[in-house]
Amino acid sequence: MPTATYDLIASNVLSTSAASVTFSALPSTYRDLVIVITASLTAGTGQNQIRLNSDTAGNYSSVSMEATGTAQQSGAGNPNTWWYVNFNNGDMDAEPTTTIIHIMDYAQTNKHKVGLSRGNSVGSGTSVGANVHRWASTSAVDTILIQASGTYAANSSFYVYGIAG
Amino acid sequence: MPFGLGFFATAGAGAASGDFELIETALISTDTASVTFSNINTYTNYKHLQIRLTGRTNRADFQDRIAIRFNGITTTTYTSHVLQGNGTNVSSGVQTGFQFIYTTGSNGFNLFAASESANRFGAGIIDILDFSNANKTKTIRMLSGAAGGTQISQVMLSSGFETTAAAITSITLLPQFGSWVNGSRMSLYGVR
Repeated sequence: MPTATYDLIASNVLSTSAASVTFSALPSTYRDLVIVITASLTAGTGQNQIRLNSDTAGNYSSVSMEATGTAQQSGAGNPNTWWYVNFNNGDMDAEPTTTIIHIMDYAQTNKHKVGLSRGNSVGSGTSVGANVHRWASTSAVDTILIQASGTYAANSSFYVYGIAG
Repeated sequence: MPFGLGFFATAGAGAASGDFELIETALISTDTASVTFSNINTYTNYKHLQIRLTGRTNRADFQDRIAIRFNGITTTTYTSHVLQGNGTNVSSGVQTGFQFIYTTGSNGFNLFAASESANRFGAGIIDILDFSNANKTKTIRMLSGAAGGTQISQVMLSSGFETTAAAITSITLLPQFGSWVNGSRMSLYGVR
C-alpha cells in the first residue's frame, strides 16, 4: 500500500535579519530530509553552510561543481566543520536564491550521513552548482543549523520536509 | 504535526492521499547483486517515478558506480551523459552502447566499495518521467555522488536512456562491479 509522504516538518520565515536558523528535535520517523531555502543576504555574497547535531569537529566533507557564468569549477572541503553549498563561489547574494539540500538516511545509525544539494544563484561572484556531502558520524540527525557566510535578510525562508522510505 | 504536500483525495475512497507516495523500499542486509522494482506497470496512479538510494558495494576497491536497467533489457542500447566534478575539475562525458545506464563519466564513481573506510556510502536521486508512456523513450535524470573518500570525492549530474519506447515495467539497480552490501537502501516513489 503506497504511503503518502513528503511532509512538512518545520519552517522558519525570517521577520528580521538573522545570522542563522536552527531546526531541533527533528523526528526520526522519516528516511530522508529535504531542506528548501529561499534566502538572500543583507550584503555581499556567500554560501549556505550546514552543521548537524551541533558537531563542531572536522567531520564534514563537501565536493561541488559550479558554474559562474564565465567559468566552471569544482571544489572540495575535506575535512571541514560545515557542509558548504557551492564550495568555491557560493550560492547566495543580495537577491533571493534557491537551495535544496537532501539529507539521506538521516536517522540511520549504521552509516555516515550523505547530503545531496543544489545551490542556485545568478549574482556576480556566485554560482549555480551541485554538491555531495558526507558527515562522518553514525548518529541520527536531530538538529540542523543553517548559517550563511553573511547575514540572512528578512523574508528568507527555510522549510524542512520528511520523506518516508 | 507534519502534514502532507499532496491534498487530493482518492476518487471514491474518501481517504486523503498524496501526490508523492512511497511505493516500496529495499533494505539490503546481505550482499545482493541487484535490486529490481518490478510490476511497475501496475502503478497506474502515477505519471513519474523517483528513486532515492544510498549504497555501498563489496567490490575489492575503493569505489564503484551505480548502473540502471529498464525492463530487464541487457542489450547495448543504453546511452548516458554526465557532468561531474571531482574537487578539482569539472568534466563532461558521454557513454554509448552500454548494457545499462552508466551514471558517471568513464573516470567517475558515485559509490564507495569494500576498501573504503567503514560507514561511507554514496547516494543518488533518480527521476524517471512519464515512465508509462509507450510512445517515447524515457530519459532519466540523476544527482549523485560520494564525498570525502580515500580516493574519490565526486558529484555528478547524469541523464540516460534506453532506445525502446515501451512503458517501463521494471527498474534494476546494480553496482557495475560489485554487489550491494549491508546498509544500502533503495526507495521507489510515485508522483501523480
